[in-house]
Amino acid sequence: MVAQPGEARRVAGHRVLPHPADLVVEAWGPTLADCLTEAVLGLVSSFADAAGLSPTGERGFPLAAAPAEDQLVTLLGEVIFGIDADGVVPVNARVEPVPAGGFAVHLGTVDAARVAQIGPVPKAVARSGLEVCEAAGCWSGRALVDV
Amino acid sequence: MPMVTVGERAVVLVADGPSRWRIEPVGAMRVPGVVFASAELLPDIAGDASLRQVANVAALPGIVDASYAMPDMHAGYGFPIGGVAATDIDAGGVVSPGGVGFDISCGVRLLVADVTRAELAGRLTAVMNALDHAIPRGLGRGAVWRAPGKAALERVLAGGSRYAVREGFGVQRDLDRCEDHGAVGDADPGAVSDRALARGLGQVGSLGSGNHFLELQFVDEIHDATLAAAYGLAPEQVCVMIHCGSRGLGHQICSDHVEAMLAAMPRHHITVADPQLACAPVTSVEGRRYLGAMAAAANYGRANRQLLTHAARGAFHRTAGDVHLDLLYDVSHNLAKLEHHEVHGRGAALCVHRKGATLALPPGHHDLPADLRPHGQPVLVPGSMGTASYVLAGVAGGGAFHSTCHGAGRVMSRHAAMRRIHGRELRETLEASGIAVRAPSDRGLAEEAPFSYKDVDEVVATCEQVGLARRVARLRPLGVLKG
Repeated sequence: MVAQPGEARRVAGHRVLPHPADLVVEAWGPTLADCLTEAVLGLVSSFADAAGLSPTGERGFPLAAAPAEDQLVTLLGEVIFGIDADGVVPVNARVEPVPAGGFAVHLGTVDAARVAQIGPVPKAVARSGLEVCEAAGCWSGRALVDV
Repeated sequence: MPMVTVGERAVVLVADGPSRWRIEPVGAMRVPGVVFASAELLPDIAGDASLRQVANVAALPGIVDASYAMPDMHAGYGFPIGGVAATDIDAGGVVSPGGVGFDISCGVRLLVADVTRAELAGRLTAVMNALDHAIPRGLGRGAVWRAPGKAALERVLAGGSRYAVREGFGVQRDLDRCEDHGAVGDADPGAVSDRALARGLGQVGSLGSGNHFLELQFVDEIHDATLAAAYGLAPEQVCVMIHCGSRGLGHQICSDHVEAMLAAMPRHHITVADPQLACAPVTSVEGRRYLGAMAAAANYGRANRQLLTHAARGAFHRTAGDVHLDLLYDVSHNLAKLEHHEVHGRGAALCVHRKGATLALPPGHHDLPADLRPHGQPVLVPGSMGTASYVLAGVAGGGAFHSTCHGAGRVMSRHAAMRRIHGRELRETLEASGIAVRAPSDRGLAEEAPFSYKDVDEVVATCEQVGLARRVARLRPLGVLKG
């Protein structure tokens, strides 16, 4: 289980934790959209120092209505795909609910070559240990990431 | 005594001979778990989730003999890393993408130079600088070769190293000394998604990051003089070890097919203890499509290592003159193969998953090239950065379907490693001990610190003790390139 959110988690945030194989990204926030946004920022923080970089591009895509765990896998998978296929790294993220269900995702990106690499680059999100839940008004999510 | 939880039950790990332990089948387990570990290695194994994962794998449909774990095992996703599992194809046996892993055909090749450490000493820095320039790795650094389009990439997926050599990136010996002679048959590029192709276009000939590396090494110790001579290894000889896999393409294929199998499992009446164990019968549409895509990724992995070989040879040529790098062998440690083995006294067609475990063919095996056949297959075992790597040999009667370890095996997470040492400190320590380091990130370097891994000497000694392989030579690094 993802740790029960305390008062400190009523604001949005993320952290990267150890795993014997690779790493774990945890994210939380008052809404699922906040939690997903933080998951993107957490994933990027595991390998890139983009401090001070303003986005020079944008990637936008829909996140279909689905179980929240599937949305987390899809979202992080899109970030990973952008790194490999398009050579871009997100420096900010906006995840907004859409009336028809699901979310619209907007990632502000920079060219990967401009980013200082501070850790191994993520390659995939595992289905093992995947969790997204809501408790006491806080959404929290957890994903194992292969690097 | 170590315990493992299987479902609701706590099960004891029972001693089953020297450095061999057994988990008796309980609950959904169809076969026992068999763990190879010396007394020194056992506490590391008992300290993570890997034993439970061994038990979960033992419940896969069609599994035969045992769910095996090599001495370097540690927790993975679904399967333990260091796990070997074979399923009987004619008895509904399954194939599981998680049993191969995300990095399909991740593996190691060893190039042997016709020069000793002393002979190269004056040119070592120049060689390392040239390799640093020639070997793409890390974030946004490109590759040796960019496929000009989907059709060219599909030729890589079908032809593997054979395609790379045909295009001028190698020589015939590179194919003779590569597992499957450079390419897995039955690759099905049509089972590879457009997303996987898009990720693979610009990465053919790149190391990646994480625990992948290129090391300049030398032969530090010979354990078996006869086999070392047969393999062309002599004391002090310089070698180049390359450890990498199928990059983003392989990871995407694994992700795609895990999802496909999760969706198909109810139709096949299969349940698994962990979603990353998602699987389907080998003979099913989903199973065949995965195996075709997996073979394509394996070919990509071999072409990737072939192009890095070409780049390394170029770096040597520019800085060390007339030095040749001959391939000793190239072997994967993340793969599923369709093999024939004797099970309970009868021959059976099996799908053998090796997740973080290396094929170790015995002397006389028909898949070995003629010049290696009398001696057994070279097994390449990379150790932790700055310590040692090993060349082993497959042995007659080798257990676990002719499999052995694939490395030192992690004992702590990358982040915990970082807390114990700063990357700059590690870089300075390695340089002070004569190991040149070329890495873009001190933090990434710290994550691969030697104390993050088990003692590779103990791991390979255990493999030899339990009859999985024989030690041939110990290699030590002169220089490390990491992504």
